[in-house]
Amino acid sequence: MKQAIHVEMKTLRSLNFALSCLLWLTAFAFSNACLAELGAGKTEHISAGLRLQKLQLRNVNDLYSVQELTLETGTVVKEYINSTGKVYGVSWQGPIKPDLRLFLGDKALSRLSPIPTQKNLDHHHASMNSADLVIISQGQGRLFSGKAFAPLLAPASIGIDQIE
Amino acid sequence: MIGFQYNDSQALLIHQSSKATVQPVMSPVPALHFAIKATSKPWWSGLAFIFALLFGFDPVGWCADSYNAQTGILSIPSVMVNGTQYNNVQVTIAKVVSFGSGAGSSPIGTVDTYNTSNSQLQIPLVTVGSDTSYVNAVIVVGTVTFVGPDNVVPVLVNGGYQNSLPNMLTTSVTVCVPNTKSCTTIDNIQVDTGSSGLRILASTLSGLGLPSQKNTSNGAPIYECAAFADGVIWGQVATADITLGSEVAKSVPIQIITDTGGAKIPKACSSQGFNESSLQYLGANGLIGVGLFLQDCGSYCTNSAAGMYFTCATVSVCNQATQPLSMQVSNPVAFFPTDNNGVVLQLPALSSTGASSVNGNLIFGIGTQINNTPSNAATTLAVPATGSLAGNFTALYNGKAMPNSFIDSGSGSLFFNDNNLTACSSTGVAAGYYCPGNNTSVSAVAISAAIASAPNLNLTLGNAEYLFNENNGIDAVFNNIGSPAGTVLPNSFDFGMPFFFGRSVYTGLEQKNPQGPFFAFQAYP
Repeated sequence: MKQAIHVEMKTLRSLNFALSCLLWLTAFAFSNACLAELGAGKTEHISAGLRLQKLQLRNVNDLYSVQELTLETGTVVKEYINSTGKVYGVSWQGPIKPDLRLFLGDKALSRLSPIPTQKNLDHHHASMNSADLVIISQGQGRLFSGKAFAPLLAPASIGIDQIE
Repeated sequence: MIGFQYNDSQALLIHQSSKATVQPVMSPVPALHFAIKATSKPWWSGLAFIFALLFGFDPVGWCADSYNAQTGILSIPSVMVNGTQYNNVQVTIAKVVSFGSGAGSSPIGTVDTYNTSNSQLQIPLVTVGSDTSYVNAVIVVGTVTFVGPDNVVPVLVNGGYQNSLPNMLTTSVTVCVPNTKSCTTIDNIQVDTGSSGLRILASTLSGLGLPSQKNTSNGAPIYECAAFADGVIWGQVATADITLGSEVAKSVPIQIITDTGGAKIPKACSSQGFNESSLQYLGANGLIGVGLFLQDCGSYCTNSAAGMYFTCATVSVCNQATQPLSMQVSNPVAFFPTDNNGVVLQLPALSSTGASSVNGNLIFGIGTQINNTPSNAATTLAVPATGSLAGNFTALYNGKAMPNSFIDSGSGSLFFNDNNLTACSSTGVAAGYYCPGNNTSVSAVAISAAIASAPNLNLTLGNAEYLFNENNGIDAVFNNIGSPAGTVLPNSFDFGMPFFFGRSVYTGLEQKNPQGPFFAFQAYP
């Protein structure tokens, strides 16, 4: 994952792209359509076209900060940001599943797909677990929740349990 | 008490003078697999179908008729009479017109069909004793000795398509062009008490021509991106009359899942998750959400485009839109004229080593008939209809309160967090499940999940890797599989399908019950 992200970052640092995003983003927040994702900067809700009920940024300590976005639907998304400004964890919880591409990125999300050799979980649950990425998603009725965690980007001593 | 009668128009009616309490009795169908093995007719074919046979996936969601030579009674799980389905009918046989085409032939249809003009009954499959079966037999009905209650449909639990989804609960659903007799019956539709609304693969509707829903201002067809935890289901919103047994829901908004034709899934939908709009990934021909809520989205989609509803001006241009409640994909149960306040699922108890398939009942209405009235011993759990605890009640796990708990037939496993339980190998067949003990035995452990008013639920957990592999991997129905829920909702216990065996589980609809939405359960039946 770390390697993949480096490659991606290199691609994304093309001049045109940087210029087009410069209006909105900090030096670390290069990503596909000025959107945040794991390994990139936090979501800039205006450029992402998100309408929010509430936005809160907390500097928890020197190691990480948390951006909490309460979406128009009431669903709360939290982005965990390391000291270099990269998102290493995302959690979501609320009545409507958020747009996961926006918050996790295409690459991470595409890894949450069925594996033919394994018994599948049902449509109300999905998970994937590898050394560089963990995604857990669940949802039924009017309650969806989940989290994604990139261990290689997280501050040392921070584990998935700290993504809440 | 019960009989066939002709009315003035000579149409056959079945009427009941009193409400019966007996449930449909599904006969075991030992002959089913070999009877249809050599055919190409079943609803999926080729390699997939062979897989289904090998791994115990019942390719059709029905049971065979059975004839008891001693009593002379033919027991019919389901029969269509002029577009209405009756269940658990018993008749005598006046005359055998044809023994049919014999084992090895392809059954025509999935349920019996009664022809009112000549009293003939066409039977896809009938078993006589333990070793004889006939395919496509035709008989003349003598007398009707019994008709089951009118609010029940049979359900089947198995491993779904290619046996890949443990504890897949399915039934058959008939959909019609509203106010016409233009209908088709589709089997293997997953029964989901954790969602709302009927969703059916377009490919199974074979050009039925259900009227599509249009945006009221610009006339463009409306599509939905239905969000599930594991991905998205994309498809057009249409209107259908839905028949489940004898219950008819008229003009219900449903989703026709785009596995063929239709507008291309827009980026704004495919980006939300894996596109599971196919038989392979749904594991079924569709799903019917009969959960706590009237619509699949509710007020969240009337106020803002929540990423769920779209208008598609062309097959390649789809834009997000708000969707009024009356046009949202809706729980069909609420549309029944009676028995419309919820459902009951009844599944028999199961051994700790599991089974390849289990038959049960889906009953409509709660407290509206003898067969759907909870006993005094039932545990009832009212849940909020809105807010952060919508649909949730408080369970106890190891004595700790779990306020985000719920009961859900769409969950194949019990989902909860317990760091003391070993997770199965992440590369093995049972990745995502718990594997207590060792994988050479069931290794059952008791789990202390409870509800304050029902302290003894007697749930156990087996080693999922052992359970999935034992009996040559054929078994797919278990009352003792569990899965870590991650720590997404640390205070949640999801009472999935394993909880349903040996119980009657009630799911009460919002706004249709004085106490609001609720769950209830009692010992089977």
